[in-house]
Amino acid sequence: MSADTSFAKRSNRAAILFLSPALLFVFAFVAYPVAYAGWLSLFRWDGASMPVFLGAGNFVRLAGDAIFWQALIRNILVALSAIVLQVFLALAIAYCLVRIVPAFSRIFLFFYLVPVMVSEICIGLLWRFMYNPYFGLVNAGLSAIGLGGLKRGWLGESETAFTAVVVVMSFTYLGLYVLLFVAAVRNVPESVYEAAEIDGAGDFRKFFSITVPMVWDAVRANSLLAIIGSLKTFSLVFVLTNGGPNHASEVVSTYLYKMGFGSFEMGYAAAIGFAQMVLTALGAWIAFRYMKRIGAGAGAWS
Amino acid sequence: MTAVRRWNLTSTIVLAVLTAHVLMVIFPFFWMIYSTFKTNREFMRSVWSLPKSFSLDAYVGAWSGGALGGYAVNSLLIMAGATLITVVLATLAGFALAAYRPRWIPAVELSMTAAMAIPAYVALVPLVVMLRGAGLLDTHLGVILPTAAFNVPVSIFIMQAFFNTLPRDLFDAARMDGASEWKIFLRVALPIARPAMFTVAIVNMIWVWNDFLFPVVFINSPSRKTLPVGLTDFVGEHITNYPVMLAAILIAAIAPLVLFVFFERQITAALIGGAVKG
Amino acid sequence: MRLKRLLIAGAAAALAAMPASAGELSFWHAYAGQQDKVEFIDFALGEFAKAHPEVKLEVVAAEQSAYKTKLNTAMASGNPPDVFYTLPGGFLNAFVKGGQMYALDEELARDGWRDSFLESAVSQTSKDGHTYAVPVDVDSVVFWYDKARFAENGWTVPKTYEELLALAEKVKGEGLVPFSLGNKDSWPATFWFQYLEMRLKGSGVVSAFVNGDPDATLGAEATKAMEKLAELAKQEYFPIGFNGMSDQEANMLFLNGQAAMMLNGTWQIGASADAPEGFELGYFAFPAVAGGAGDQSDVLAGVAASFGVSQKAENKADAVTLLKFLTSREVMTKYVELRKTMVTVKDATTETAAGPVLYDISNKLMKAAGHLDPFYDTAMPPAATNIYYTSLQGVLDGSLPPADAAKRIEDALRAK
Repeated sequence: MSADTSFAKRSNRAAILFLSPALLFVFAFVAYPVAYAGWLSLFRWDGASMPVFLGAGNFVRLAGDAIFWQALIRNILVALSAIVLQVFLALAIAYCLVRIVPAFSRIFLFFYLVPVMVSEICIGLLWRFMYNPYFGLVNAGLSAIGLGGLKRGWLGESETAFTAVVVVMSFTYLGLYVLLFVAAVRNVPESVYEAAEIDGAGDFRKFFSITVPMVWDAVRANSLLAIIGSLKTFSLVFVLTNGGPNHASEVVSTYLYKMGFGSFEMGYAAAIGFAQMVLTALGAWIAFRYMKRIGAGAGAWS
Repeated sequence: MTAVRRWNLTSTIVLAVLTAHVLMVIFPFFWMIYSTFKTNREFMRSVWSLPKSFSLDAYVGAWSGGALGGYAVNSLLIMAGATLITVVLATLAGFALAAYRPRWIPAVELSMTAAMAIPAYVALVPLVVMLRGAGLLDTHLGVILPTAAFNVPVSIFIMQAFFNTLPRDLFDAARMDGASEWKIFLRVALPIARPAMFTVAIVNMIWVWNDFLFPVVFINSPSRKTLPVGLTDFVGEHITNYPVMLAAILIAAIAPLVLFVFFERQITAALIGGAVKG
Repeated sequence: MRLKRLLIAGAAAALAAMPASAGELSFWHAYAGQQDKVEFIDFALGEFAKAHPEVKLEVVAAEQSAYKTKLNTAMASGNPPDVFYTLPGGFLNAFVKGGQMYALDEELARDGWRDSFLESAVSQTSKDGHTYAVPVDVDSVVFWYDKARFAENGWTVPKTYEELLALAEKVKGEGLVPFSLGNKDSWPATFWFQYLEMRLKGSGVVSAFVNGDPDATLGAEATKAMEKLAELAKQEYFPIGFNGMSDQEANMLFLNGQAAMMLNGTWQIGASADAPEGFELGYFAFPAVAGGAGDQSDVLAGVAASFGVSQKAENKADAVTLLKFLTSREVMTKYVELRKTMVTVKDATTETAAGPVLYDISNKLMKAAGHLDPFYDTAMPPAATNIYYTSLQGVLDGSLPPADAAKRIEDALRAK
């Protein structure tokens, strides 16, 4: 009894000690900006003149701002596509690299990582050339394989712009998740696979019944990375389409940038940022908890 | 250790599919390389064709006085500083959250989630005000600290997730031997955590290396610019010399690529860690 | 008594003469990223250091889009640079409204500094009778074409809008793109709209709004202009996917002969330097539109860059010295030579410096123009510019009806 409470006290103290450096550090640099954003969102300000108090005016405008909500939906779509096309695909690729073609894993891993090590602005520029309807490889490639009818203006047409950007994202960030999953997949003990093999399980079964559950913690962590990254994504969209044409590929961060640094409406931009922060935090929180529930009991030690 | 696997049909199919996929991922970079051997006129004439002559002018132009080298050093310093801080703080915090599970965990997790979600552009003006007040504007530290602060929350979650996979009795055994919490952390938790720490380190290194916003706004002196900022020196408003720009991008990408090639073995080994659970 | 007063006066004078940074200035500019810009600024600053060694400059350069973020952040955080590059019009006016800019009226009146500028240029950096920045260069917009290709195909330069459309049909028939356009950043399409509005209604339409003229309006002509634009897009006279193509990619199409004409600014001269062999750059004015109420000889031309002094600058005297130096005839002529752009200083755009094409534009087209209309997107307040851009993209891709687009822009211009 007393051992428990003294442990509880001791652990509480230890927890505070271990956590305080990180929490204080983050608080120092994040708290003021958050408070500032919250404060500024109550005003109209162009960065140069005196701010004008609006109360909840910016938020009322935000609630009715179709561009913002459509942008938010696009961010969610990016997050969903990231989970499927980046996280899960990376896991599948990692499985293949580790268990099916291990002799080639090093070189494949290297190639997948190349886009990750080059800045997004450069990748954006490269892909703009790829997507150029006249001298770009995408259209040229389609013609070459006889699908010339599918040629489009890609980044310039409202129907295809957003999808085109998402495709680039899926190619670009994939390598990072492959790297992280290769390690996780290698950690799964051989004995478990051997047991399954005896039961006649093929690669498919092994992947879904063994690998996925056993690396679920890594899946959760990587999904969190992917979701946060998707909700904040900026550079690729900015370089590829700048949110256009006419907001067809607008995401929240590009809209924020346009409002704050393009239109000089810093108060409204702060409101967007604050709203994004609240909604993102909620979304990530829910997603993380939901995944914990799915994975409960499937992990080896939890 | 994975058992040696026999080559079969599945292996061949997978190899073919992966190769096709990798080629799609990689082709733009291959194009980047051979484009640097063209002149700008040649490039504008035909973007995808192979170079007619082999010209190194683009590299001369990109290197011009070694500015890129200086930028790379700045990037390295900032990357190292921010990563170090982040890994240390996140490991401590992640361990505490997993090992002690205090009652107030939800508060911490929620506030960390909120901190992760704040968009950087919104924070620019207050950060500039803060940094200027502390005399840190236009310094390396002035970029390292806010960058690390924004990356710590995600890193904490990763470390916490890792520590959660460890069995409880691992720590209890050491505790029964009378070890202090700090010793437990150092002697028991830390050694096992190497793979996760490496993961956090690598992810952070990549983020910080490519970061553009904080360095461009907080740093003014040309000598302190980082690589992503310095690369914009090659992008013009109306006119861009593409081979030179691509050469600059390649030179900038060399550093991380070379690092990866040399340390790949250590990296993957560290990511796997020692514990072979058999 | 007198001694005490002298002492106080002396102390005050000593304190006043002791600003923290006598002879020091922070100078921010966006002349980075492009070879010709860098060459110019290196030349200018090098010469300045020789001519005025007593003034120490802390120079901060950033590429155009990053520059705006940096400058706005510095301004918003209360610590703007002493002397800085700024776009004229709405961008500058936002700072003026906030009292951030130092009025240069007094200095301009001295030594004939003001007279050395083209009057139309200075008016673009002035508001309510005060001048807040010195204009540097002038960009004007014309149609560009390859003389060799036109000769080869027997095409002639159109004099009227109908001839222009007929020519476009012919070009399209040859399998080429009539008008190259890369509208990803939205400003290229503004040239089309503005010229049409200028031809249909007249110049000064947006300037009227900016100057607070209560009768300012875009008029029904704006809807007509939008309709003509939509028509051009529907007829596929622009490249496929133009709303996602950058201006530079469009330039490649033009130089490679895949597109026949391009409505673009005078920077096209520099941008055509890497054209293939046999390419001969020529220009023609935006043709007359039948039934248009505006002066059909008007030219779209506006100040592109200007430099201003912050109200918070401690060392205003040196700041003005720097500005005077930058806008001196010698430096400005070098500007023309290196950047192949017209400048705002009289007689600095000489034939030798400008080259034949630019000199022709400067001496013939601009001189003969009825009015010079500054760029709408630069002149209007930044919030309106955003709406202007997206409305144009919408009209061009067919997602926004012309009348709605015109109304949106009009409302944005009226908004306070």
